[in-house]
Amino acid sequence: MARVGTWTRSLFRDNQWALILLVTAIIAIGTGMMNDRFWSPDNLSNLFQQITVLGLVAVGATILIVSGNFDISVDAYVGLAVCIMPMLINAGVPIPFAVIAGILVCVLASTFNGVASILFKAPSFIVSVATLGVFGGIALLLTGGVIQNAFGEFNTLTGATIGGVLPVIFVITLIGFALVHVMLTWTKVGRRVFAIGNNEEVAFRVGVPVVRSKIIFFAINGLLVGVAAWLLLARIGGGLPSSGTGLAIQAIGAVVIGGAPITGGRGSVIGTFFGVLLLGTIANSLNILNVSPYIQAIAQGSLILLAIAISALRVRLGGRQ
Amino acid sequence: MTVSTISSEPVLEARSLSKSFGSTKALQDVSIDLRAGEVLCLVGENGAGKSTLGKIVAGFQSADEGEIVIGGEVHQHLTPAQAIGLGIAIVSQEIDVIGSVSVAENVFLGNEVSRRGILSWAQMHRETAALAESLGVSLLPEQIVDDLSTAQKQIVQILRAMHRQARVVVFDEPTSSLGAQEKALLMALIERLRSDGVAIIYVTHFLEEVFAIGDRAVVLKDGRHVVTTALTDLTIEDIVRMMVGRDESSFFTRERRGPTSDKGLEIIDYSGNGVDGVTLSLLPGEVLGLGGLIGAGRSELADLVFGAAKRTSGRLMLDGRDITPRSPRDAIANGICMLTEDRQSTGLLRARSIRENIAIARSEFLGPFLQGETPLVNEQIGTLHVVAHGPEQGVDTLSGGNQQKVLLGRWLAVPNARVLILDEPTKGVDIGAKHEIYGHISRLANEGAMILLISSDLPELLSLSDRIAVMRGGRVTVVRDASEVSEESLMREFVGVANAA
Repeated sequence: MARVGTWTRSLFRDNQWALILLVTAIIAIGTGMMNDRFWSPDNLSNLFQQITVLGLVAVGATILIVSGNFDISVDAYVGLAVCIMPMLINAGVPIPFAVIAGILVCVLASTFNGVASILFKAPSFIVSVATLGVFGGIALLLTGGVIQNAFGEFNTLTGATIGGVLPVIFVITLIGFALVHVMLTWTKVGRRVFAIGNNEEVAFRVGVPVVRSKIIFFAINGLLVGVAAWLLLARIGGGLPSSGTGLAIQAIGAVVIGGAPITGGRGSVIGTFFGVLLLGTIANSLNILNVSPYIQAIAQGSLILLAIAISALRVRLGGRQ
Repeated sequence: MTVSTISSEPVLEARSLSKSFGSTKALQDVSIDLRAGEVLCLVGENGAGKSTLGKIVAGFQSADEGEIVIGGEVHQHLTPAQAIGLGIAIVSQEIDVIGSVSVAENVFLGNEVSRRGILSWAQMHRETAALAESLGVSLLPEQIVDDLSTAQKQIVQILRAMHRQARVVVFDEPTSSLGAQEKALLMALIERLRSDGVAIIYVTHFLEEVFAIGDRAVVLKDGRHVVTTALTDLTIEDIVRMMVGRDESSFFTRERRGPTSDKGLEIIDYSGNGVDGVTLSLLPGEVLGLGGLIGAGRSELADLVFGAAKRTSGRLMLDGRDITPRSPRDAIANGICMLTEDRQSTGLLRARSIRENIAIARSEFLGPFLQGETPLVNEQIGTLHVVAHGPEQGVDTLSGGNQQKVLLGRWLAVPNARVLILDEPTKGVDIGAKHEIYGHISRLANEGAMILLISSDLPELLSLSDRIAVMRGGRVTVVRDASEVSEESLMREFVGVANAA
């Protein structure tokens, strides 16, 4: 019995995601006991749909945070993209090109944040707070605040599921997680993410092209967010400049809950995945249990605080932070 | 020397102080006593412990063992606040002034005068001006400290100390960034304090200053007390002799083979970053030692050559080709590697594994998927005998010696690594690992590498080098064959005392 205790202790100590998965399971089981609709294929499919968009944004956020950067303006340029795509579609542009244009907008916006941060020698956090306003303003200017309709254009995509439970759009997100995990763990570019996030001076001294790399990280983030914006449009059927509200903060929350220190240098998209899953499960179960949406906001914020506390506790227990 | 103002009773005593930083023993069982009205100089090589001793007296470090006696009271540990309360002050470039506020604010820091909650600036300015005048200092109380020169900033520290009625002032390498005029100003001020009965501890590696204002000197070597002596009948050569000189066991025997080719590395007229017109050459199979005091410009030169710092002039030729690097990436692409002095802040990726730390430089020049990395990493771990559970272990859990080996492995893994710049390669490394590293350096040189060895450890420099270049004030003053020098003659070159030709 004692051996099991030490094993579980070391499992949680070294892998925060295991702890998060446990908490998620507890919440799921608890909710299921209070309302067995939680476990219905419909609801589970819903749950996966709900975390699809956040998932990809959080993957991008993981790359940035590990490398020591932030992008708070995601909300704004997602809003911009989900407005531009329907505008193009309604103007007769074939759907694939409209989607590519939307993704491109996100790539450019994110890359702009990176370049500006390097050029002005300012923290990317601050730069993105500024561009949050700029990109949001552009979206409002283009749309006049009117919803851009693309209703029904993506029904085949959003309707498709695997085995009746796993939505195809969620599979797209999973592919995103898988690709970035491979990148971070087994490629040169991924190595650079950790090196720069750990110690930029050391990265410079071992030959890492720091400036070029940082710009690439922001571009990759833009690509992931762009795909997320497309999936968001597919789900909602229309776009408003405010459609992306809350994504950036939740994404950062998911990354931290997943165990990556906010200071950078360490982290994994596996942890982020379970962070996203936990956030999604909480939102879903609070819905099922008819809890007020205002409480949900408190719940999410408290969760991030809890994650930070657990992180500190793990350091105290002697594990790797 | 002026008329003696020295009291007969000590105003401060340090008894049996010991201090270790990790596995490095900075001070071992050192005792000194200090009298009012005297200038007691602490001298010794880099790392001898003189700065640590000064900081312990002023409360900025606490000793592991030993005690300080002042005003009849015995103290085991002094905090900076306690030291200030006891009248001990320190003037140093590390413990600084607040640049964004005025002279008066700095002088009164922590002791501000206020009436009913409002600060009385007029009064503080008046008192600061009066204090400055009494010391013959021409600073205005309202000047913003950021606008002052380094010497003036130090004077602000002195004013603060005097305002706090310091009876003991520790000066920690105060003249390292000062020009001749400013030095004279500082010396005059110290004389002033001395004649007022202040007890002064003066830590320095500039021996001319020791003889200019010192009454007695304490010589430290490798953290131990060598001798405390009056300076009246001594010469600089005598002090130098007491600072250096170790027995045979400190030395390592290197089997030298001599250069393997006549075309090598040429460092031509490098300037910038505090370095002035340095030209050196290095042949394959050779270890060129680079010696000098702290601040002489050795690490600065290394950074220039490696492309890590901006140069104002200079060319680097390898095998007759101009390969002057503009960045470390350039340098590494040409097979030039550098092990930095401070592995914690500029060497290791601290939260990462041994594997990543070893592979990182090389993987920059490999394909995108890090092919062939594992055998490479294991090879370095094996050859260098890195003691660990495996390549995935985090480097922050390794001992200093093993960390250095990991870093050495990083550079040896670089394809075509031909030039190795090693900056203090055995700093903070235990004796066993030290000798292992010496063995590797020796082997690499004999296999045809070109090694630039920066070291403050004289036996190390003498054991490993074929030739030794001495730097002082950003310039190379002399290059000698290692067989022609001794610890003493080297130290004289570092300090700038003429050697018999």
